[in-house]
Amino acid sequence: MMADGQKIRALSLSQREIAMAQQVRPQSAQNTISLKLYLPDCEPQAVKEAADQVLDSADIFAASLRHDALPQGGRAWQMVYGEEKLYACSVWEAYTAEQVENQMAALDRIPMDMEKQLYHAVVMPLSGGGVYLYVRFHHVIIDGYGMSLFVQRVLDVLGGKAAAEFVYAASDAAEVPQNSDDDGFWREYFRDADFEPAIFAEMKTGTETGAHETPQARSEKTAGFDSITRRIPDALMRGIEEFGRREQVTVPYIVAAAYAYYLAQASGKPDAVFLMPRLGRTPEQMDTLGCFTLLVPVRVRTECAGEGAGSFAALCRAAARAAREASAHKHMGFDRILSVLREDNTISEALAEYVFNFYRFQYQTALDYRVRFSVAGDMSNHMTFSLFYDRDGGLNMQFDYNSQYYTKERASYLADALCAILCDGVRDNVLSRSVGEAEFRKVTSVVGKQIDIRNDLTIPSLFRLAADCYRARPAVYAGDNVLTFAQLDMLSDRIACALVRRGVKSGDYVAFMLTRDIRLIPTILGISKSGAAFIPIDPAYPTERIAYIMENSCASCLISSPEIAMAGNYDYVDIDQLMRQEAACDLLPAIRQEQPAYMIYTSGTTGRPKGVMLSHRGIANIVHPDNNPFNRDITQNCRGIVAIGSICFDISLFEIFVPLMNGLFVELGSEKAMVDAGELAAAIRRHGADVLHCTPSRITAYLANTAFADALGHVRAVLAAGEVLPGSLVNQLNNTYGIRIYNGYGPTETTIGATITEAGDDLSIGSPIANMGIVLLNRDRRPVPYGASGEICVYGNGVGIGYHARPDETAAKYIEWNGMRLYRTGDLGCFMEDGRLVYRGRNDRQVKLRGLRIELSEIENVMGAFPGVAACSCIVRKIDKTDHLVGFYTVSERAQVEGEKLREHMKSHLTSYMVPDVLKELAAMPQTPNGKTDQKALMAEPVEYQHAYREPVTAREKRMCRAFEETLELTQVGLDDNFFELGGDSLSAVALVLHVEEALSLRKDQLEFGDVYQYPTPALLLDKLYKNAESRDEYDISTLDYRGFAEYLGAHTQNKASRGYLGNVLLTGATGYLGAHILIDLLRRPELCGRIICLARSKKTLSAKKRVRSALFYYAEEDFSQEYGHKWEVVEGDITQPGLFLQGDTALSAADPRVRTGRIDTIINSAANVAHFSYGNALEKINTDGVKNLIRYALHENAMLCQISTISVAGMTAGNALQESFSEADFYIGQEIQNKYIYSKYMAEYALLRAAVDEGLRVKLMRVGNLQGRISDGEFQMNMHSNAFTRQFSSYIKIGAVPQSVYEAGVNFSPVDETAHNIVSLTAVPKAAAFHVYPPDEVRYADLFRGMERLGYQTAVLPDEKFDALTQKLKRTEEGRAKLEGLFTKESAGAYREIPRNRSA
Amino acid sequence: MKITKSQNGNNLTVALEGRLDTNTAPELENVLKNSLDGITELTIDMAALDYLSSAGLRILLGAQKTMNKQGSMKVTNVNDTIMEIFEVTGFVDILTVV
Repeated sequence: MMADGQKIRALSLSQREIAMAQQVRPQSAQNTISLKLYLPDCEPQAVKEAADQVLDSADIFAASLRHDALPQGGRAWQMVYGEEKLYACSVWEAYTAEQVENQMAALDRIPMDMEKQLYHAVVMPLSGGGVYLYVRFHHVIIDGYGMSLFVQRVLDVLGGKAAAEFVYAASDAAEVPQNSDDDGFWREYFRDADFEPAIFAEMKTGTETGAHETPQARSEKTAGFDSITRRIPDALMRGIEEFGRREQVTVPYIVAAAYAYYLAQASGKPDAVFLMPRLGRTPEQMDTLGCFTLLVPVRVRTECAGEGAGSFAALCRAAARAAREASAHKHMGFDRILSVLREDNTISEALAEYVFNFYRFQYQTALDYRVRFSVAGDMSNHMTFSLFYDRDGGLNMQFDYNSQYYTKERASYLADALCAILCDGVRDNVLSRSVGEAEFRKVTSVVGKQIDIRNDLTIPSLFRLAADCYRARPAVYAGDNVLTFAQLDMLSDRIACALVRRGVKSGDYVAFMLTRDIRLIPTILGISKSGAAFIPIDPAYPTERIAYIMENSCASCLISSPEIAMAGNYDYVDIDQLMRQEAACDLLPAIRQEQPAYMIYTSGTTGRPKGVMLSHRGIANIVHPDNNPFNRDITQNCRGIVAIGSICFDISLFEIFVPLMNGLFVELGSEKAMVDAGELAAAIRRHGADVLHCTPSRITAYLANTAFADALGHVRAVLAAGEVLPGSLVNQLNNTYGIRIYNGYGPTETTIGATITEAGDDLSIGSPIANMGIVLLNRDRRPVPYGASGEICVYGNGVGIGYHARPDETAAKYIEWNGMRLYRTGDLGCFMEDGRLVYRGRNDRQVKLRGLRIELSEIENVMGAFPGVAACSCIVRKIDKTDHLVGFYTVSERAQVEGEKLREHMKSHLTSYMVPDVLKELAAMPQTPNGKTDQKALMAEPVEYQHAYREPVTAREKRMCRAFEETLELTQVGLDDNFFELGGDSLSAVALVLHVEEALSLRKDQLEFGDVYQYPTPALLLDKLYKNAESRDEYDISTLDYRGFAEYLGAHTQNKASRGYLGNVLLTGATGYLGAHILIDLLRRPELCGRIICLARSKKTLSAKKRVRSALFYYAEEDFSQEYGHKWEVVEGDITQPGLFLQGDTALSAADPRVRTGRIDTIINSAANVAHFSYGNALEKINTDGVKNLIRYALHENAMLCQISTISVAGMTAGNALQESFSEADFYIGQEIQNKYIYSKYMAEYALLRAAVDEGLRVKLMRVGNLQGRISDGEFQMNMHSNAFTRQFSSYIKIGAVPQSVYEAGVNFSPVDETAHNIVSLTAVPKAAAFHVYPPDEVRYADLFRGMERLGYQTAVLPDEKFDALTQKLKRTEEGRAKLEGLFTKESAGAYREIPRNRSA
Repeated sequence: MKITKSQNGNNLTVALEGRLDTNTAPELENVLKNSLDGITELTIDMAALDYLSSAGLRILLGAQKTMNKQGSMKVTNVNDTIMEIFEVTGFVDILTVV
């Protein structure tokens, strides 16, 4: 056993980081690593002995971890080394290989309490022969390299060598101090980084309801961890080695490059970031166990420029360089790196969920073995990828993964992808793959049902089939009009023939601009039958838009009607005229499926509408009764649909064609029905339609209407497409009305729809409809891994012809891929495990606000879940040049929503930066003609950012506001601006505390992290910091009415000698230090008083009586139970209760002491709140208002009221001690009051003296000093930590220094037992009014410090300026601030003088 | 005060009954002094403990310090009265109260 003299060692930086991480999640196994060494040819006992020998050979196995108080103050982690290993290796019974695997996995998952046990070694024999040596370490004592050393030693011993002692070499003793260069390096290293910290979102299980989960609930969901290992194929390995020699790159960097390339491709970003533990060992530490690794983030730019750009070799070199650069700055520590990057807004939450590990060790042994290291007991990250060598030099890839994000399949796909990238890379020096073959097949296999659609089916031919079949059935209702299928067929024939006669040819475009009446659908069908493609134009469109469409489309004619004003601008054909023409079917041309069927103009991003051309093929596909779940449902179960979609949007074609081609009727809703819930309700009821298509936001808004809600009772199926479907709406419609609700997704460009859900699915946007498929591509047009987010690209029958007269845009959006024509939607999605598509937002719905990514729909979901909110929408808008989140909502009929409550609700469900700065209620949500929320109208909606800018005026206010500005990187923060509403979060709150401490030269503890939450504006924070301490204006006592005080106090200072009798006593505050001692004194001198009633509060489950008795026992070791009930009693009550016992002047409450005693003669008020700083009115309530209640009671009872007060009411003058001249006859002598506590006590005295002078109340003021331990045995107050003097004194000791002015001063010490005894005695003195109850002599600080010196605590006496400088320095570090903790009872200058003289609790 | 010990291998449970004060504290101190050798897990069962004085706290602190070196200590079945003392004195942070 080695011993190098030193028994206790501080932790190195790497160890501290691990210990800190462990403290954050103490009950997790995340900082443990295990080794699993399989030895097929060894005996269990031999392995145990070998392991024990190795455990004996390194001191870390005799060490334990302590979080100890340091002699110089504070606490720190220390490694305490014992003589012998703490735990020997145990040997378990033999089990099957599978059982052993399970056992090891189970052991991996058990949390390891680092303060109790740091390793655990077990030999697990296999029933079929061979053994496993399983050793699990806490990471704080070992790193991966150390584990390799451990394994080597075990192999050595088993191979017959003696276990060499491990040499201790100090852990990174030469810790490089942090400097700004490092900060700068990391900022530069991550400059303009564009990467995703994670590829996969948490897996959705499909059984969730979609209800909002708190982050806590998410983390409580049992996370599993698993691992797979894959050996790199030997041929590939040879290729990698050969490539490495040729290109001068080492194997691990080649693999790292492949990993980086995968991560970048998978996330569709140019950069990849993974974390890499870097070995921090010096050469002399190479044979030492212990933890020397430091984690660094490695950012690899996969789009490297320069020579060989785009080659795999260049990428490998870039990866190697990135890793080496990062490694050179590892000594900064991962936590610090993170905080620098967070400050910089480079990252918001996680940096990277991926770890890359390389175990370079190659074992020297003749034995057969297999070894694995695992971190999968618990992981905080998603995936840890480790490389390690096999016995024969082969390289293994091990993937430890978090099963919330990975499955075995995903992990093996990752392995495949890496092999594929490596294969192409080392063979052809190219970058090509991002998914492996098997995964490629899977990602391209998300396709709809394959249904055979005859290639001659077109809109006209399909309608004819239906018309033949359902001739007499009603096909279309519009208002009071109805058309049967036969009539519709005939009318549309007439229109078609008339058009042909007018020269319209197959392939032409014909526009129509009509109101929503009975002529509309015949027109559409008529144009179609003529062989032309129809172009719908909404008569409500702006003139310019209509003009643009007419010109751009080159429509051969426009069909309209005289009553449409806009039509007058054009040379149009009157629809009524067309319908009067005779039909002659032989005129009509044959129509091919591929020719254009319609053209719809969509809003282009450039502002000019684009005409999207679609063929008959897509319609023929989507109207098939078996095309999708919705079609199947309505064709089998329903009769008719209410169509309210604007004819200019293709969803209206779905509303019209699906029913008509399948024999259902269309109730064409009027313009009014499109926007009015009552009218829509009427439309539903008019002919018994039972299918509705409606956007989620519209249906949500309409639900507030009772007529609509009633009408919904007749509806059986709803297609709520076009927007994210909120889970709450699904549940509501299904539970209340039994409605089956479907969601769908699809751009106009792919013929109405691409995916439709099964009924009730609100997690996904469904699966591809028949004969369509989805693939998700990254920006390099490569498929993303299955489950990762990528651009939704649609292929199959519905993919349209392109944009009219826009070849460039057509080429950009309609692409050839993998032999298919596909349309890139620009939307993001990912696949669930079962192939359903999850909508991940349009790129423009995911906004970045102040550097933080925000998904607007997530905010809307939360807003929409608030009771009473009908519809809602959230946007980012500039208000006064600053971007703000603005939420709009409407309120359901008969409901009310209070803005503040809604805000609270959102705050409780969302990260603060996601809570809108402005919430505005709207009478109605503006909607676009097709029923989607009109984002543009919302952008124009007047809003006001409620926090008007209040300019900082004083220097302090300016500094505070600047601290906010610096933290938030804003140009202007006003006094009333809320930190969190301006984008602050928990991370920046930490930064704010630092900035404020710096700006206002605060001590630690003056401002805590939590204060930012409690006082989130500059004004509130200033208030919190200074309101209590600021004297002049705050605590103006100069204008009070002191008439009669001097006379009263002067006249009552005589007669100290005579003794009196207290009669029945009401005592408050008996659970406190002084109160308990007063009670003890009273009980020990029973002759002085009658009965004693203690008034105390209950606390949690403890009754008042229990609390008082427990305090008595604690201090006096007896609970006076013999006397209880006759000499003394406890009643429950609170002096702050208004009226205190008095309900009217006569009635007695049960708690009234008079019920027990008949009367009360003396009241001793020892109840007080002694916190020197407190927000709100707690101090005032107890210390002043409570006394006023007692005064009233005392007056009523004609009792004497004895108030325990404090000598602090004498006040301080700046820098000086207590006013020497303040005597028992004095009250106001021009003193200043320092803080709220003293003010509350002063005001109590004032109230008492006023009552004495004005109303004849008999008053005693007991001004006590600095209460200290008992003179009899030194017993100190139970809550020692809250004693201000103790805290202050211990701070000096911890700092090891004291300012000269303090050292030379004295402090008053009042032993509690003597003080209590004197108070009781003095209370019994008749008449006299004020007493200063403390020893006349002060204790010299110098004596106290000398006493501490004898105990081994040296304290240097510094000039005050030097001491100030020292505290400034200490404030900069966490440890320093911990030491200063006791020195903040008063603000800055002269602070060290103030010692509270009173602890009257 | 009644002190009941029960040992199971390296685990020792000490059950306290009555009042732990200046008089009874030395008794407990004595019991612990003589029983902690080789103990890795000490449990102080306070189910039947009525009162605790400051003298009693000191003994618990001493025991905790000893056990820090050789294993662990926990305090069980703490009633509300005593829990309040642990809370006010800050002992909840020193002891493992389960």
